[in-house]
Amino acid sequence: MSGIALYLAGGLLLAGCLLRIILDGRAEDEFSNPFCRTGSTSFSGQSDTELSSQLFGSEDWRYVASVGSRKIEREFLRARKTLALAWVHAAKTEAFALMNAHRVAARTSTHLDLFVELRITLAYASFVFLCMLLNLVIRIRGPVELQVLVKLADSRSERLYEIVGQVFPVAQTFDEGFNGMQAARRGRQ
Amino acid sequence: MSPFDETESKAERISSARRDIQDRTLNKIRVPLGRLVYLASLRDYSSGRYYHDGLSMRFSEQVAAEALKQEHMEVFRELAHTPLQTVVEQLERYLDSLHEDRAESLQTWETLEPYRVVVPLGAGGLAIRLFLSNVRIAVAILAAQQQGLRVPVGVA
Repeated sequence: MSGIALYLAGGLLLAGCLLRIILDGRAEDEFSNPFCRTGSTSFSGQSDTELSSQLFGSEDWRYVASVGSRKIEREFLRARKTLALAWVHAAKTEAFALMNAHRVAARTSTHLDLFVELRITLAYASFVFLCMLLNLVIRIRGPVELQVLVKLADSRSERLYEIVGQVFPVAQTFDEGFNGMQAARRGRQ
Repeated sequence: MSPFDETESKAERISSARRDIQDRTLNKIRVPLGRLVYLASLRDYSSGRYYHDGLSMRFSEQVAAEALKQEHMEVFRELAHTPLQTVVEQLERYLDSLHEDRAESLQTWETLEPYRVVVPLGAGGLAIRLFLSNVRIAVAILAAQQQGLRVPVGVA
């Protein structure tokens, strides 16, 4: 009986965390985070790669830690956390817009392949899951040394673009304006 | 002259104007942060348009404005992705170059945040935020250093 209660409590806690992430994301989008809206996060490929490695790398943090001031450390981590969350949010928003464009194109297409659509849905779902995981981890332990997770999410974003690009030319057109993790991928090419 | 030739010619003139401003002025400003402040000072606060009499005379007002705009963006991009330690070093060198009282300058930078106006129009939102955050932290680090805290500026 106590085991079930424990599972229930764990489930509720997880649901609460997810709900908070979703609500916080909306709040950031509408009020506190004007820069993370689509169109404001324009980077050329190379600079986006530099930006993500700076945000999720450890070089700056090592320097701040060597300063020896708790106040500066706190201020640095607070600022970087906000920026990293905005970065993830922007990437998620762009992928969402891609899926919307794909949905519009799919409605008028006469050559829909259910298997391909399933692959797109799975690729998108895994990307969104990784974004949520990133969001959660950033909130819990900050953005420092999260490059592995960022690269994983980036590879999922790349996969999503590849699959959608194979099906509809809309992905290529859309790709021109995409700025999130996809831009980071372009920067490495 | 075809429209293509005209575009190419304009691009060339802008490119020449950029080389001109680099050779005559920007390369003489040793600190990139100083270059950013200088370029921002050539921009009208209201219209966002860049003015430089000498450059306008050698080229044209339009070409000069575009060249300065591109140069401003270039310098900003470089700075926005600079590691924090380098930003601290640059800020220190820039404040030294002003030959003003360091403590007073730092206090002004902390309270008025003048670095907010050096950002070029059209820069990416996250790049702007990262730049502003880095400069804010850099100011705090130099202020702490000023107060006698051990800070490893220039070490690494």
